[in-house]
Amino acid sequence: MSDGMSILRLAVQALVRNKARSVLTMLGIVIGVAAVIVTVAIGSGARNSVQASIDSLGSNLIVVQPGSVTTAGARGGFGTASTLTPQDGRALAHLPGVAAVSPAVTIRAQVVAGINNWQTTVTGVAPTYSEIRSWPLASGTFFSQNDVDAAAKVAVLGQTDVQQLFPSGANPIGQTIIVRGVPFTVIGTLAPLGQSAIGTDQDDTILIPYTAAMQRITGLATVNQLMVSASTADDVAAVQSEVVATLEQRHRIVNGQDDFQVRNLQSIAAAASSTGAVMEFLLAGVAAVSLIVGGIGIMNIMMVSVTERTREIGLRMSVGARGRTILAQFLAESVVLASLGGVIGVVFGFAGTIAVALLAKWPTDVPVLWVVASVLFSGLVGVFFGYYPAKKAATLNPIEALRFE
Amino acid sequence: MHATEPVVRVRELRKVYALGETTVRALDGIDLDIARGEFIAVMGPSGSGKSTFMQIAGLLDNPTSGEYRFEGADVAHLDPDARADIRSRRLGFVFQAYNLLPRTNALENVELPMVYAGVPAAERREIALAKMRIVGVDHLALHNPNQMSGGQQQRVAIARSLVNNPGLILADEPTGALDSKTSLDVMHIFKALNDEEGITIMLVTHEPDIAAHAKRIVTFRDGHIVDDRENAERAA
Repeated sequence: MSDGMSILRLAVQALVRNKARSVLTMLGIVIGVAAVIVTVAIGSGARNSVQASIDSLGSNLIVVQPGSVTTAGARGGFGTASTLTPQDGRALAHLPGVAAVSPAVTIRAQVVAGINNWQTTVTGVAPTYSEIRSWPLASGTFFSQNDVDAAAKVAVLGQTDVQQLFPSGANPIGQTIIVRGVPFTVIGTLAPLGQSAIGTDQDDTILIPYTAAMQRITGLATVNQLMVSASTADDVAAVQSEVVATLEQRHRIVNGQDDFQVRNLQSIAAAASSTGAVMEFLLAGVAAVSLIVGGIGIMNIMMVSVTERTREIGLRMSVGARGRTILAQFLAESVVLASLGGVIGVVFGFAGTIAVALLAKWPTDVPVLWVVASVLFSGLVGVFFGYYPAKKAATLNPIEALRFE
Repeated sequence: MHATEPVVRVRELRKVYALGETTVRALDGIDLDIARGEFIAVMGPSGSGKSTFMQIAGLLDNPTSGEYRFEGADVAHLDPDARADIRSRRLGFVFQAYNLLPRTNALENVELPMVYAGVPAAERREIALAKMRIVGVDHLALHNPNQMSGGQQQRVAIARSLVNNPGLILADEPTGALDSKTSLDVMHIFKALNDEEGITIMLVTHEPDIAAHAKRIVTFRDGHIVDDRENAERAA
């Protein structure tokens, strides 16, 4: 009996013989798949940029604060105890899953630069802070580990402070600012970050080495915060329990009465991933509906085709085609149509995605998985919607089929 | 192959159709032998059972009862696949309406039965062209049916019926759609195939002057054979 290749050839011949009809039939699948690719690309691009902004908020971030002290019966609230040290930070940096650690020493100060002054937050941090906050520089350099070791009097300015302290537009790099009587040389400026989620101006800040903040301004051996960033968002929970265990050990806490508080921003990450899940579900729905509509189009045309080609089927049977060969041929026709439509749809989808990216300046990202899945699904649509018409063709009575007018 | 066996041997062959409440005995006890090399015309008015006989003889359908041996093998109760396989290897069909695939060139039309019989592509081409040469349409190999006259189309269809070296060619009103001159041409081809290639031919027709080209004429009426005679005055 005839093999798979000759059946495929017969199917392709039959499709080529009816070019216009084949193209029109494919159109449903082409448009369906192209729509899926473009929608997924736009949606996924949007999701990635949302994810990137959420990451910049610090979804991998774990913040350790000192606990509360009670003075004459008044409990001071978190952060009032003086228990966290840079040595704690160095211990945490060696834990598995930790990407970076930075202490934070927070100082409210009236900062002076020449004839201008401005009250702002001066934060003493490590060089890893820029990485932890995903906060790039606008100009100059960030301070180095050498600056930290030397408690160097250098500062990196947020954009709000640049505007307030240097309103004339002069380059702040190399200028001197005075914080609580201590002069600092400006060596860099931070890229604008804008408002935080709760409306505070994140750019209204000045960063200095934490050693300089501790030794030259506060005179304390403790810090206000330890910022720990996990390598990935998935590591956050594990890293957090490691952090707690390490600090409990270092602070010799046995009864569970921790003198520190650990928090993370996983609620933001959870919101982001649930948004992503909803979006993916929505896109899968659109994809399924458009491909099913395309599949119904194929079934419709295949039904018409079987009726129109009844005599041809009768002839094929009379010259020796078995029922299942006819079935295979018609099934092959619809699978070839649907798969080819899927492939062409992917090409159009890519073209559409590039057009959207270029014309609308919209971030796009075509996930390979969706491309493979939509082509495979198209083939499945071909099998599913092609089977009934093919079965109808295969079960025709050759005598009646030959007589069909 | 059983050389001494008749190509077709039927005994007490019956075909009964249920038509609502009534039953129609399309074939009501047919006994007939067709020997190798015969050119037999089956005649009769419509409803006589001649078409039903051709369908059963051509293994497109099974009889209700009775015996049918094709080339010595009992084929009265085969399933559709087994019948398809015998049609593929041992039978050739020629129809009134030619039944060529549209928008497909003559060569590919002639090759079609060999595709289903699993003949390799190169061999298919060679055999198809050889058979087209016999019926004089090899120059039309790359023409589509709509570029050919009715006579040319029927010749292509005859070439198609020859490609599997059939034990029997069944021609169902092969000249029904042709004018009298072209009909004569087509009958000459059948005669030549029978005389020169020794191919057994069964011709179904209701036209006496077409049947007159056969060596033997069998007449059906109401499901019975009413006349079976050698054709003494064969038409030229």
